[in-house]
Amino acid sequence: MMKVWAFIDSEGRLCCALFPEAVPQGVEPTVFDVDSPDDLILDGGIIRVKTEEEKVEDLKKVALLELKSVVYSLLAPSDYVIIKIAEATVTGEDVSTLKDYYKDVLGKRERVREWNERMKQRIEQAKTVEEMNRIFEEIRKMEVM
Amino acid sequence: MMRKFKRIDLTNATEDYFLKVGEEAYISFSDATQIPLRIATEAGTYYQLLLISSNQGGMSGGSGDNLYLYPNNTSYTNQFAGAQITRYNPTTGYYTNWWTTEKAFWLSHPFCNGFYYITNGAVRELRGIVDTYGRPTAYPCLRLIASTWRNNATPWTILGTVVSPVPISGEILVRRLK
Repeated sequence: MMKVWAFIDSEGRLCCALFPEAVPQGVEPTVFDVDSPDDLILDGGIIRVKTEEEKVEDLKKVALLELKSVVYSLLAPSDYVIIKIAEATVTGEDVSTLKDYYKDVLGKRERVREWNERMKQRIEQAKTVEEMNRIFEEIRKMEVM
Repeated sequence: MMRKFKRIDLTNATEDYFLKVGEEAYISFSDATQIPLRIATEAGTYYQLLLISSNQGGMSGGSGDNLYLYPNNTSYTNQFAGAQITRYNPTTGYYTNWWTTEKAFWLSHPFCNGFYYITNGAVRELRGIVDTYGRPTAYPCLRLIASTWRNNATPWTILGTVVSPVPISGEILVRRLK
């Protein structure tokens, strides 16, 4: 937990000072004990701690972005295989030889896509911050191979 | 010829010190989640920041959560943007790239060693190259980072505080170049 001195700046935005002396002069801060300034929200001009539901919704947005980036990074190095097979299809070649040659790569891509779908479902269904933290751990490990 | 910086130890400083051109602030920290740099700044200045970690090398103990520099020792919700290109280790993945809004200057993830250049001027930004470790996907993990404070209305008067999601140890050097 960390202590923050939360205040609204001259443009109406939420700011959190780490020390009382960091609060601009003439501003009256509200003190909170939070895990991160991200736990606070400006709600109709009032600074308050987010509800568990609000925290989970915010984490879901971040998790979906992270998942997308990770899936992209896992698929991108073998995109050339798909292009090769697509080209063979366009030129009317027999693609079965290519598919057989690249079966391990194609299998890996399928597992990545299945993992992506599973993770998306878990993110959508998550109800607690704890659950979301476990999902983040899994995404960041990228253990899909 | 290599320029020699005059070292100022700010490890136990209780007041902000206005670093002059050619001076180098030294800050040592142990198991800390908040590291105030205690450096006063103003528009028109330019710095190099070196983050030298002493956390044991390995694939655990670090965090996937973010390490930040809070300018003015304050977070400013959604006033920053960070861009990065990252190369993870080969057994788990390849590379990712990001562009996100942030609440402070994004430094990377702990644990890490990095060097950054910081501009407090017409553009207020930080950019750097970082080696992250202490994660299954990172030992090493290369990150190229740019982070910008996209609001010029708030004066930047205190260089800031490094805030970590897990306790970190090491040293920070801040050199004023301009």
